[in-house]
Amino acid sequence: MRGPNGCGKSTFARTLLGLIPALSGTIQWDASHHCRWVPQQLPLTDDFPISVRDIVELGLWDTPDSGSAFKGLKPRYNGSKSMKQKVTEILQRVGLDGMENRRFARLSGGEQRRALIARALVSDAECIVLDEPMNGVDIQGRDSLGSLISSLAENPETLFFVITHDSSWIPVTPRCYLDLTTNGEITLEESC
Amino acid sequence: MLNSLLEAWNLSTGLFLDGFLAVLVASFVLPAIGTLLVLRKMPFVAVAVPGIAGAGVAFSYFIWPTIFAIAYETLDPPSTFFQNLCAFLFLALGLLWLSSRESRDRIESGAVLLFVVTLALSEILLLDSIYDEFSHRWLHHGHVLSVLESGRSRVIGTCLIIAAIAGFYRRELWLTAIDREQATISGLPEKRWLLIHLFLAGVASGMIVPELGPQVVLGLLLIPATISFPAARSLSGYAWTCATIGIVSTLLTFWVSMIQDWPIAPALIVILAIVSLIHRLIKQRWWAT
Repeated sequence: MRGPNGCGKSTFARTLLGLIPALSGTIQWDASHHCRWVPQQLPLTDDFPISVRDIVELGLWDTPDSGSAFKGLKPRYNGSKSMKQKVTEILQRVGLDGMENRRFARLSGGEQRRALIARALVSDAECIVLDEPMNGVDIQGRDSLGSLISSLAENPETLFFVITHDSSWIPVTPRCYLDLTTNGEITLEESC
Repeated sequence: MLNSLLEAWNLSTGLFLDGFLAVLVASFVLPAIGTLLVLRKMPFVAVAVPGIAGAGVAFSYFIWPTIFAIAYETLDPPSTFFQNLCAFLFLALGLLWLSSRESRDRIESGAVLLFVVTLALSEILLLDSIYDEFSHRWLHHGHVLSVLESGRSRVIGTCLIIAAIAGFYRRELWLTAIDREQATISGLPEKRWLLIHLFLAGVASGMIVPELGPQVVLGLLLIPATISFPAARSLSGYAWTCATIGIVSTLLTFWVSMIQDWPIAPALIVILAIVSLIHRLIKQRWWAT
């Protein structure tokens, strides 16, 4: 999803995910239980006591589709490996191996984004929504993060929905572009 | 140290065993529950205003006896002047240090802690002063040494229930405290889990305060969790660390109280603050990397 700053890209995505109510109209796609949200950053202070492993492990838990909220979270993952192994494997995949015990808030912007992507990947989500993934990431970090997102997006089973005001960093051609303008116009452009 | 501990233990077991057991169990559970309050920044919001006002009150509380002691020193034991001066300097330096902090959250939480610790310190320091009536009145707020068997069972039962619920739902409570958006997407209504969290803290306060007093409960809930916050690196490590600080502080408190004849509740607050600070300094200085 492309568009200039302030045109409502993040608001649109948040509405789609049910995080904020729609001002008008209806959303016919139930994103919950299928989507994972990768925000620009978590509102945590520098000394917040949460490790990278904590962040990723929380992604392994989800409410059952038909469950009451009081039943709480259940493990979404039921593979043969232990949860710890699964988390370690995902962290290696996003280039954060060896950093699982580091404090999340002390990581650089690009590393935090990788950890949040790992949290989304670990849950085997069908759709991952990334909100301005390059914000606050330095130039070296942009290249490696862009390559990571592109390689992950090659998986046809997962829809990567990337919100950005500048799509030039994306090394591969997306399946389509959704363009938003500041006066509220929306256009869908198929690229393949 | 061990001999004096054992001697004091043998002499006083019958008198305080129920209170000791109740505080020991509470000192393990309440600090862990307190970590959830601090993760949600709740003590900052709920206690900040009275806390800051309280720091002002405590400030004047110490400056006035100091002036009083200078003006009417014949009425006062000489040591009281120095005791008051020490407490005043402690508070003044604490407020000066707080004023240098950048984050408003930290100033507020620091003011709360300073207030609670200073009041506890005042109870200990002013035991022999002309302010006896104050200290003796305050002592009745905490009934740690007069907890009966039924009260002990109530405290232990409440702690076990709270610990079981909080342990079982720890991921839900963490996720709704840390990332509300992801919690909503995961199907956890944030407000409902906030209420469950408030219910846990409310039950802890409602059932334990009548037995152990507000100082013990407030101190155990807030002091280890707030002071250890920057030193912890993981959520479970944070909870276990605070619970351990609670246990160690309680054991030290009963020992020091018997040796020094100090009241349990304020002594626990002061020792909780000292142990938490020592842990934080050690963790930040030597285990930072």
